[in-house]
Amino acid sequence: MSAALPHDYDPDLDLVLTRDISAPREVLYMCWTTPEHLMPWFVPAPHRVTACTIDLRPGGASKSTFDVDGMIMENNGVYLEVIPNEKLVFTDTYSEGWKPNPEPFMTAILTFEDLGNGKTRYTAVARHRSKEAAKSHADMGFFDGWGTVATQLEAYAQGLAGK
Amino acid sequence: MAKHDPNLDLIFQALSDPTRRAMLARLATGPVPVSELARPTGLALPTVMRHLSVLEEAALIRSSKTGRTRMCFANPDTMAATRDWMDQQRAIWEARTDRLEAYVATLLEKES
Repeated sequence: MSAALPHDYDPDLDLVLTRDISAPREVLYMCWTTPEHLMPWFVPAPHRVTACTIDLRPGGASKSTFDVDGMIMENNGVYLEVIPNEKLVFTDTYSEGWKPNPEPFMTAILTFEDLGNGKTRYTAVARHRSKEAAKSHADMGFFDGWGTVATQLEAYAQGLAGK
Repeated sequence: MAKHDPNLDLIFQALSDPTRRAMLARLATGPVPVSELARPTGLALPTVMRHLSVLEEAALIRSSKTGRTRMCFANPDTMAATRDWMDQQRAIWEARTDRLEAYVATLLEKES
């Protein structure tokens, strides 16, 4: 896991998650980079991603619209680095055209390391601007929407598998 | 391997159910006997007990028996832990990765 840490890792603001997943990195990368395959899992049920635009190039739009209990949330960001099947960096600091966003919050750095045998070491690093920015994010009621976890996910996955 | 406080998993799992959230909301007003927690749910007692044990395992509540009455108490310290913003962010990313993993599994299943 240490290899995934940013060299200037700040435990107060940086979050690092590493998980070995039984799927080829091409599939995981596809799930992050095509609307069709991102929308089903990105937010927890019963909330939904109602629209998603992915322009996969540095500076290209990474946009999604969430319906969280009827509250519509727009997320406008851009990709900063795109290395197919290996790495994806995006931020909500800018919108398309490098337009600065009013309330930037984070940069996400995803890496997909091939472990062989169809397995991938998936690492997500979320670097946050400040605790204050994070707090306002949570106060928006966003967290309640995200907080519904394991049981519903499982049900969703099983529903999909049953189709 | 998930590198996070395992309690957080229990807490969020416990909170993912509307019946259990309603029970917590009721307990936030003060200690309540199990029978009184059960009544508004309309659920059978064994089901109620199962919900309570999930809450208790997550340390969201405590309970103690006096005579034939079991009293439940909220454990606000545990709720406070979930309010730490970094834990929230971690929970978001962990849960998102759970869903990604599950989704990918269904994709691969369809392929094979």
